[in-house]
Amino acid sequence: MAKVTKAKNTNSKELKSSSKSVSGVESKNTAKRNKKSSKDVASKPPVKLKLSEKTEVTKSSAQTTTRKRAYVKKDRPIIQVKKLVKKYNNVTAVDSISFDVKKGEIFGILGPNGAGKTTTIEMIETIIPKTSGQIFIDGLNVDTYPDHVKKIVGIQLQNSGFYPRINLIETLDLFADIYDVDISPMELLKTVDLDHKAKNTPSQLSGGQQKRFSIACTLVSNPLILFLDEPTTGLDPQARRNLWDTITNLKHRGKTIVLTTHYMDEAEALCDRIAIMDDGHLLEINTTEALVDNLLAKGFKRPEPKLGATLEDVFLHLTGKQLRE
Amino acid sequence: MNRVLFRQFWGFFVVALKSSFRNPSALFFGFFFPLVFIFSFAFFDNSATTYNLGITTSDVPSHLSYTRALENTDVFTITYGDKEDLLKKLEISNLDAVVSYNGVLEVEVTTNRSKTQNSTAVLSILSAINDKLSLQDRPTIYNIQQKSLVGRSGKYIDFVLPGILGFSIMSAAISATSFSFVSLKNSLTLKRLFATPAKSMPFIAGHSLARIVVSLSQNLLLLFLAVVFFDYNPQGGFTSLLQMLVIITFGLVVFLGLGYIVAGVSKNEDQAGPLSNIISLPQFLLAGTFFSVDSMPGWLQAIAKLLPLYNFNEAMRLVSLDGLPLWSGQVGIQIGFLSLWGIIIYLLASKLFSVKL
Repeated sequence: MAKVTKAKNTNSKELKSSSKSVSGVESKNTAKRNKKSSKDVASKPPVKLKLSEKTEVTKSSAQTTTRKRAYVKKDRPIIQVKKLVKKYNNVTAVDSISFDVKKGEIFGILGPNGAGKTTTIEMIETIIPKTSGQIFIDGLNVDTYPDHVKKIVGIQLQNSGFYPRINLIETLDLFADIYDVDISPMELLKTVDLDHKAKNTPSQLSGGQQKRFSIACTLVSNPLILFLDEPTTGLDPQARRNLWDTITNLKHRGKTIVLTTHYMDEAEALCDRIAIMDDGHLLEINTTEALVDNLLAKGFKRPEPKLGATLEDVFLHLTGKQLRE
Repeated sequence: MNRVLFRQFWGFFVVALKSSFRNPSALFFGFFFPLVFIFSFAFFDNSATTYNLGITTSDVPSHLSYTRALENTDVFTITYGDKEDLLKKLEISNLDAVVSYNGVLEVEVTTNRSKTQNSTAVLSILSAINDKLSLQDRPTIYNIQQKSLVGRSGKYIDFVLPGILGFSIMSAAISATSFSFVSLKNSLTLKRLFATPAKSMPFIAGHSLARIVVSLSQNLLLLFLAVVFFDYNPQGGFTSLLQMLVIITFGLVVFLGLGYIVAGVSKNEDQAGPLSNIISLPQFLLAGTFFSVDSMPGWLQAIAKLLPLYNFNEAMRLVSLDGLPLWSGQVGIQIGFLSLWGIIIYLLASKLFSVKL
């Protein structure tokens, strides 16, 4: 997988790979980003990236991937989004964005509130109609095969409700009936650590538990792809970390995960690749390390020296890492 | 494919059923509310009111003394007139009884079905007054005729119960259906379901069947309590009860459509409530829930008889009060009108209601 990214980057823009290499030297102290990004050794001065260039990058990378698919089918992206547009009257919520998601990766869509993250993934999920553009999931056009697509994706909405007065097991049974699959609700609840709440209704759960239950519901159909829309928004640090573990476990089980977030640390901790959106535009799309390296290559310096710990570290040190429920 | 749809249908049915049965407010409005009505009207028979009495003008002394005795009680509002006129008024329920002298003293009482409690009360008062008169003033012979204008003689509960059931199933069908769909929409439960391969047909069918099962079981329990504790006694006994259940089921299906219309039109729970009331309250008042439509002025009757709840109530009463079978012509007409309403309602609902599944 990583090789494909590499190929794309080198193919599309020489500038990019070069800038990466420069930064690769500079940012070796960031121990977390120890993936296989900084190999190239060509050195050229960092170049300021403009929006137009970036769009070009995305476009050409999409083309590369399409060409690749013809003979390397197993590397076909599991999600392909091409020139996706959403307009509400005169407002363009999503402005012609294109990207691919690779099988087995955690793909993050990062952006401030109102950037168009949710609109984008809800169009991919076929929950809201798109204005124009094409979306392929597992090689199938979602317009042509919406039902099949709904069977292979699991969706956690940013906000969603469940039947009132229906407990967790009964809710999961309903989803099993809808997907026509046989499941063990208790097993599913165990995977999200909610088996002790089996007889409660979703409204009796805490915020973090509700998010985890929501993920359990998406797992009913054993989907290839999971969409998680701001899975940790509104959770306390313990619950967030617990949910990160859940998400990482799902990745290890072979799921492709697309998540939106506006937390940088979350994107950094979880995502293999990140698309940064703002105001309906796709600004950047790359691996986490490459994004940081690129910025550093442009001569960026943090204004203040980094402390050995953050306030969150202090908070977690004082209050412990166990879940509060 | 069909098996898949059936499984979805069954899943929605089970969940909707459990959700409704665990909902205390639905239980209250569908069961306790009508039970309170039944309870209060079961003892309504003994309540003291004034009765409208028609007396024929006559010179016969015994009649006169009896008439005077009647005038002295404050229970009666007395109208004098020709026998023919008085009987006409009796027929349209302006009078509760007519006292006339035709060689013997005759008392004619109607058992207009909505006022059965009046006729029994009038008769007992008349005979009590008769007993108090001195021997020479007492009319020597008197004859009491109970005329059945529509239906048979009976207790008020026999008349009012079908009306109460009619109102309770209609209001439950409209408000519970609209309310539950609107809240599923607003709580984003529908959106979550829309993100699955769930289809709208099994979704709607499952919810409708659940609503019908809930309402039917509440009505069964109400009927059972009415028979056991409130002396409710449908004309045809057990077979009448069964036929009533058939009409109730059919009525539920028709009224559910009204619920879908309200659910389709209203954006939130705050709109669903008043809209449900706008549809159900006028029918509640006009369609003969507590008193017969016959006692209303003509123009109002004409309007009332156009309402689907009237058709429902009338069909129920024809079966339970008059003992007519379900397949008889008179019942058939009412069922026919109700069906016509059903068609109109569901045409409208299909335009206004969508679940986007």
